Amino acid sequence: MSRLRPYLAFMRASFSMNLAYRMHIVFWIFSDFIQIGLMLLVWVAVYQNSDSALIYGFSLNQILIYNLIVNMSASFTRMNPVWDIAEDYYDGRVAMSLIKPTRYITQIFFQNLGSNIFGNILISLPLSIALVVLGINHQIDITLLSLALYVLSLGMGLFISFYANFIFANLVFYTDATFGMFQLNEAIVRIFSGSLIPLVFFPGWLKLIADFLPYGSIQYIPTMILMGRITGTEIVLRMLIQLAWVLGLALSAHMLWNHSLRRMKVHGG
Amino acid sequence: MIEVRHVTKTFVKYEKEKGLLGMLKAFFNARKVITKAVDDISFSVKQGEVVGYIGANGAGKSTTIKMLTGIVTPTSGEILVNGLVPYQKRVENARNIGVVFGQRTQLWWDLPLGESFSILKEIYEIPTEVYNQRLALFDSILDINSFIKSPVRTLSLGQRMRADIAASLLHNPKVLYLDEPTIGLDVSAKKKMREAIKKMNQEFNTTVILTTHDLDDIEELCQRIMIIDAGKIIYDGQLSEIKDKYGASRKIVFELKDAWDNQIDLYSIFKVDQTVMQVKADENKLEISFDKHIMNVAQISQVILQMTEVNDLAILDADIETIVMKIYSEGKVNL
Repeated sequence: MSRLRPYLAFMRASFSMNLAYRMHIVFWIFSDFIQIGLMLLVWVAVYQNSDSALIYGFSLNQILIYNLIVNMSASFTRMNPVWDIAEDYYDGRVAMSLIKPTRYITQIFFQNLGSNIFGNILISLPLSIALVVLGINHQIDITLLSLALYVLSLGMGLFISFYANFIFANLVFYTDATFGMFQLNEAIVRIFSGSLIPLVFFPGWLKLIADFLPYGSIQYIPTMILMGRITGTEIVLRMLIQLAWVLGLALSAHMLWNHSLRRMKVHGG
Repeated sequence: MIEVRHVTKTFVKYEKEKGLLGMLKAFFNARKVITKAVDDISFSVKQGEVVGYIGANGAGKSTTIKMLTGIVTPTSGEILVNGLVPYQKRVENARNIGVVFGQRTQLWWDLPLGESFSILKEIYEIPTEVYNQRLALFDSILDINSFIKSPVRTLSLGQRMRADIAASLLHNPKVLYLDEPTIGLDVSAKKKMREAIKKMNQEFNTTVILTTHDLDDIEELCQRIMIIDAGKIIYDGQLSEIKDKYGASRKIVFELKDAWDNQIDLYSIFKVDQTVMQVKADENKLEISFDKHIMNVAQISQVILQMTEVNDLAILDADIETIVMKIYSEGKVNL
């Protein structure tokens, strides 16, 4: 574990940096909650104007709970290396990371984890738990097993989120259109991770696309496991797919990074 | 300690033409431009040496440093630093080196300086006792404690550079690379930086490679200098040797009442050629550079004073700066 020590230091650094900008993050989280609240209102409106009480097997209460859980899961797995890498890339600051006795990707991972802790766990966790507890109302049964599987699945989701965004961040720099590509990434993740609408609501062709993207494995699968919507052997299958994404994305990220590095280092005196 | 053999680094750049059409063209068929940043350089540095690495902007200094630190991979050639190939064993190599890039900082911008140091302590896994000793040492030389509680972004440039050099030395590196460490600093900050470098070299036998445009840095710190120009090392040797050779040159600047008559042939008057004396006249200003072993000030000024009315005259000895300027303009060193 001693090898972890340098990386924990990076985590601490970005955690402290976030503390320095805590008001910024408080407002940011606040805007997240407004968005979640709006989504809940939209769902209420949809169900009130629907003929049946169930849509794709979800009752209104269940869809509201789905939204709370999926957003809580999203904040746990939020990994956004794009800005770290953007800074490193544009002014050649990557050099300052490369003179340190640490691996770059691992460093970025822990840096993100550090900002994640503050922004998403310290603030979102208590609020999300409160929301979930208030919202459950015996509508779903959370067993110890499904909770354990949820945590495991969410852990893999964290890695998938990191590597998928890491890869996207690297692609961004080949196009030199950082901001636009960043927005595009956000939109794609939002749609295909199921944080707006459960993926089962998608029409067939869109569902097919979603199945071939890693984003569904980040929050959607853990959420469906926790809600008991995925059961038995399907859980095993889904988690194996998650594992495959973790390994495949990690490998691709490392390969892509080695290539990007050669480009990045040219910048700056 | 450091072995560099026949190292070349080429960069490929894609040139774009101007305008929208040019961008479109470049998108499909960009023109490849290959530049040699470093061209077949070889040198070796012994442990404990302090080497000044000088050259004009874009001469290849920074690229060399980046290859030595393992950030950049050479296109061809071999590098060994302390028995390791830096670009293959970047992480291991990083434990043995300290780096200061004068234009950047390795400190955390928004954190108090002390916090940055303690994060570095963790990253380099420095034992607490050693860490405390080092901080005390740096405080005595660089006077760091006076601003250790301030966030790095609030430090003045002088303070930040002092902090940065301390940061690069916390883990007692065997080799210290300094890329323009005194750029933009005032005299007293420069002095402190130099003291710290000297102290580390004397006390811990730290090997230092220093690039700079400030030749006082070189004169204060280095016995040996390497001069790089257009990617090639054009001089590698003792500083004193260069000073002896080029230091023989002396210059008299006359400010004349009237414009200098270019018809006058000073070379035949003094019976010397351009290798001994160089004359430059610009309206009312006349500059004569000469080899002080062959000619002297009295002889020259006497002749000029007889010829025309002189308002003022100044005698300049070649300092290292003018020497280097001369070498850059010639592109080679004549010894």
